[in-house]
Amino acid sequence: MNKLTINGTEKEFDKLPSTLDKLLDEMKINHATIVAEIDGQIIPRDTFEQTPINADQKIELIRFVGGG
Amino acid sequence: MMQDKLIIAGKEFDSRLFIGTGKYSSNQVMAESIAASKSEMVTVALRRVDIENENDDMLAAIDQEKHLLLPNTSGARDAKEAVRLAKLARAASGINWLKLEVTPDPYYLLPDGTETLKAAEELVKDGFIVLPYINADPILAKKLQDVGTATVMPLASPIGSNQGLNTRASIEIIIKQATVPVVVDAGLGLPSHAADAMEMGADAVLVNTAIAAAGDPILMSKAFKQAVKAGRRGYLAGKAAISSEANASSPLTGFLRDEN
Repeated sequence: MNKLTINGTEKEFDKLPSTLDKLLDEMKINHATIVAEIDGQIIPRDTFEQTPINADQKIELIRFVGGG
Repeated sequence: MMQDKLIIAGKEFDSRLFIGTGKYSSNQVMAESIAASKSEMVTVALRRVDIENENDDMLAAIDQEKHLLLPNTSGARDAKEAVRLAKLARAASGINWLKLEVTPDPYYLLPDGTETLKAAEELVKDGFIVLPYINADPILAKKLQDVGTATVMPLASPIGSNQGLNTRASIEIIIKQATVPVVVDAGLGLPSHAADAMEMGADAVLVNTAIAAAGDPILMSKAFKQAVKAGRRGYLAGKAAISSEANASSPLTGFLRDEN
């Protein structure tokens, strides 16, 4: 099963993207504005290209929004 | 006017008004309100990316050359969640300044002092410049400055309530005891509330809802800017004594009347 949990939602893929940057491209998410966490580990933005994606990972994609 | 810089963790600020970026009707109004305020520090929050819809990039509307980003840990219910958010914020922005807030109670959004102190201790050790949002508790404020926070930020009244300086007496004690800048945060609803806090000797104020939710946010932003300046000058000038009786301002001699 090619399944990932992204921001709390399970998503199935026909074929898993090999790296985090490819996953973001596939989801049409702008890399420059986000920070990622995989299984509780923060992934620095400059390592997205080298970060492998494996089935069943819990991925959090986080961004800045307005706040007080 | 003489040099009157606010210094936090060695960084100088000309403006004593910090602005929140929540609740604006658009990024355009937010950007213009921030510009009108002349604020040099603006708060932002971290949230999950919406994976189904397009995400708007609000950071693009903020000129980070002019305004230091102060990420907050809003949404954290305990120290552990706050520390996680802090590290994500630092990874996302490269900024180690942090508004630490731990608010387990969803109704009044009052901060949890015990968890805030615990998180502050850990984050200071990890190299963060920590600006903790707290209830107006003078004992907690002392403990936080003792563990190395860069400021203390007592609330005037609950977040977004616009009720004003309900915690005045306690904030006065915090100001008297403080060895770090005191920033009055949350609940200031009007420029006069901000002026009042500054006249009391607060070092700065943080305002969001009162500006963002005003009829004309840009005009309100200018009004807060002027109020903070006026309040600060009033404080620096040293207030004249209060008396229970009248003290004539005009001479009590040379009246145009015949004495009998």
